[in-house]
Amino acid sequence: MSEELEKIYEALIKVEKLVELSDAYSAIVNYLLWAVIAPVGALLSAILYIILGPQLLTGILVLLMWFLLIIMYWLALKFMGKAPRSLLLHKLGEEYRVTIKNVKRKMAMVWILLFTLYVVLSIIMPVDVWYFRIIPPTALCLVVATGNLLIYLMLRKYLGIRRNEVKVTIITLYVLTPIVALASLKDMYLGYMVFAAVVGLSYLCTALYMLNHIFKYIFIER
Amino acid sequence: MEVKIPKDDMLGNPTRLSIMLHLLIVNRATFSDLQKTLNLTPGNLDSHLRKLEKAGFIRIKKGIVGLKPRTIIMITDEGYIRTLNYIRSIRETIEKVLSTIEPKQ
Repeated sequence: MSEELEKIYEALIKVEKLVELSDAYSAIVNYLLWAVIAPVGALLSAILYIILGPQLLTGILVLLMWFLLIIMYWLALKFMGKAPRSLLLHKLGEEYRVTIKNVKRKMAMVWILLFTLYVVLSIIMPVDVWYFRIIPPTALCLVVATGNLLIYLMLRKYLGIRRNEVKVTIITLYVLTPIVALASLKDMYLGYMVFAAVVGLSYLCTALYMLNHIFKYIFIER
Repeated sequence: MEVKIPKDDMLGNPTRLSIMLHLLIVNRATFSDLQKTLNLTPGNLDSHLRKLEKAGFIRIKKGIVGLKPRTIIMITDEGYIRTLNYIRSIRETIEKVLSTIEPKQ
């Protein structure tokens, strides 16, 4: 009796571990997608600013382009059968359902507000004055870093989840922001290109950090 | 010591539990994949899937996989949370039972 119970117990622990690994895999897919989408978005933003110049229409087009990229990301995740929800629901109970909905709404609001702030800053900055060129690319870098930081803090505060991998994104972005600023001083579009590399690198580092969990299980814990 | 066995009308059934455990890990599967993996007849699998869909544990939709029309079954947030909580509560119950048995040995 005791042996049978122990076997069931071990099997259940294995199932929970598999769910955790499956979630880690979903997270890796999610970050790798962002490692592609974010630099592409940054480069397209730069191209739009080069062609149209900083004005209201450019701002609207940039926001629209990001919106389309986010839809593409969502469709790609859906096509691959990877639910981004598992990033949020892991280790949570039923009573959190309403809270999850509220947190998701707050997260969307954070990104909308930050990107709107970036667009407004890009439009009002007199980029023909050389030292003001530093603002739009650096602001975009800070927007992505701060958005990730706020999401990390919100998940910790409202749901008690510590998504340590997001720290990798935040630290990489904040540490490399001065390089984006320096490149922007040379030329604003050089700044955007460096930002594209920086943001791609930060999400790639995050995906590698998550991959570490899977390797740890395969080579050490198993 | 009181040991409370978790009750769930949906997951109390072993076939439905195995369907949900499979979906918990893979997130979504085709009807034929589920049928092969769990070794079930189409009628049996269909009736359990309908019950799970009605309870909001899964979503069933028709889709194209490899240029062929397929029935795709996806786990919902509700199904994810309920199944994970169910297996956790069983594990905790067994943990309690084992802790009472072991000292006597």
